[in-house]
Amino acid sequence: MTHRRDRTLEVRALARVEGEGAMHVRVRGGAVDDVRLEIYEPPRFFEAFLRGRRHTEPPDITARICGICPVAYQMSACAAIEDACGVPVDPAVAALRRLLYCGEWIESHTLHIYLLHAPDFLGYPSALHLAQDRRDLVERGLALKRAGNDVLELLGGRAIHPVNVRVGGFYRTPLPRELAPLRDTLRTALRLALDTVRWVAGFDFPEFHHDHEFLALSTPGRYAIESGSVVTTGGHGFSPRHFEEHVVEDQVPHSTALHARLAGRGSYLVGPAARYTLNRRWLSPLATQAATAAGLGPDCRNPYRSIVVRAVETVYAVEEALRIIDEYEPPARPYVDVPPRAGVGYGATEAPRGVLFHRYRLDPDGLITSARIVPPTSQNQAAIEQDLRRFVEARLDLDDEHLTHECEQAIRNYDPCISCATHFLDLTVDRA
Amino acid sequence: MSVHPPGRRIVIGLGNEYRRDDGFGPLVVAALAERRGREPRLAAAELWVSDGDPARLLDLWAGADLVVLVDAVRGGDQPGRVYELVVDDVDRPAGGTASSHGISLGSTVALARALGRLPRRLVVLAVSGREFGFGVDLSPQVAALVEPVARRAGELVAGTGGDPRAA
Repeated sequence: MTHRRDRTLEVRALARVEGEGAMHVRVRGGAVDDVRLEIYEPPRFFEAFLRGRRHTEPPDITARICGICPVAYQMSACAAIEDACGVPVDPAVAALRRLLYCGEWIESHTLHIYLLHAPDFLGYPSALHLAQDRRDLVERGLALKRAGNDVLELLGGRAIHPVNVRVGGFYRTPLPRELAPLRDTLRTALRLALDTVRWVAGFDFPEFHHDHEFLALSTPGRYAIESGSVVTTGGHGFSPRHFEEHVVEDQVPHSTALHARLAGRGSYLVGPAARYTLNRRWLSPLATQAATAAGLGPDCRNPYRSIVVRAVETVYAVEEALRIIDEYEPPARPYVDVPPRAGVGYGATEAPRGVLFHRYRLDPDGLITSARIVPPTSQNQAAIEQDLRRFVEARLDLDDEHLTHECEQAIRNYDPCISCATHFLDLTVDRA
Repeated sequence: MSVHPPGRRIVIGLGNEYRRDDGFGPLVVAALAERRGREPRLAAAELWVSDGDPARLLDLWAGADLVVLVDAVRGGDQPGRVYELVVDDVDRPAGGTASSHGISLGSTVALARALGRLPRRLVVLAVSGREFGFGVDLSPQVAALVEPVARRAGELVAGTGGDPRAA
């Protein structure tokens, strides 16, 4: 135990995926003086990279921003470009997009639950150590993840950075009989997903609650994934077209990522807990039942319980994938033509870790003159910092090693891309 | 899960071709795909590109006879140096590699071992990269190694490269 009144925790990272992050905590006079989550976000550079490209290119280019959620980037990009060109897609194509997205949710959530986050709750330093003791659990996670992988592979042409997605639809749409084998895989996955909810519900969750405003997409009648209007727990509602009027981004000195806030209201959170809190009534009966049995109430304001929400959303995504396959009628054409026109288009979808907004301005030839991408991680950054400050304040009696570990777990509550960074980190303790 | 035929020999290029030298692995795989058209001994080799996601790697290589992983790594002695490692050499969780979500190749190998999913033989051809920022061009020293490393990977999966431990 340590009660040093002055100390600095410095956690530095190198990571190549969606974000590069570091954590800096400074304690002075026995109080938390400074907390910084330093993120270096690739999407800022991609916005410049996109200028001058054809309007058909953003789905493929932006998919490279993240290896874990390429579909999210593809779906938001397609939605924005189709909006700019005024072309709606066939409902059967829209259903296939939702199916593809379900595959990504299953994969991404399961990766986070089993390989990144669960070891924290069970006292293991990593999934490897968990696997050495409980091979069955890791095997279950890998089997569940594989179901999402299979959906991506079948619809997207390959499991990473799918190549079958294009503006207006898909290059090729599957025949119903091609989707049929997924049924068995997904039926098994549903059982594994329900087991997962029961498993994570039994974890020991530290008491912590926040009162951040939640922001998520909402689609009356079903849980929002690939489309919807924006709603917040503060009672605001607007279309993706007006996203930038409501969400303001500021530069902060310690990060190349922008801090997002709701205009006139401050920081907010996107992600599974936000989606669940705003859209719980649109979950399927089975997912709702699983959530209730897992102890989730009408909202989820304890970030540690986000792992339970991810598990519930995985149940929903598996069920939804099964429903779409059962109801699937191939579209007349795999895609609609999307001829370019001058204009601005907006697209927002629910990436596994929260709302992902895209905006493109096109010239009459369809060349992109400006692009804007607001990823979930940067939207959450300010709220995470505020929560981290409170996490640290409540744990100042811990020694540096334990405090750092608890901070890393706290960060992992929010976003696997940041957890990725923290897993890498070398800890430097600068004793004042 | 698909059933793999016995004796599978696989080359996996790890990386992202939009992140400069991190595109080395995918480019080696592309070079091998080109060679395969004119070299019958490579016809049976499977070629894959992967972002290094551990679960997908484990599925990809489970039950394989030989896997050759091609990757660019940060650090090392000098940009453009090639390392050939057999599985025991990479069986250490390491930080600082250009891998996905903090689960390094070493950790993935260790996880595969814990789960009984290691291929029978696993060889890593790693090149020490210099630039991992955005862009599609490799550093000159790394670009110069695409063909030689593709040739070495081809020898290994064709069974003409000798014992990798002796290399």
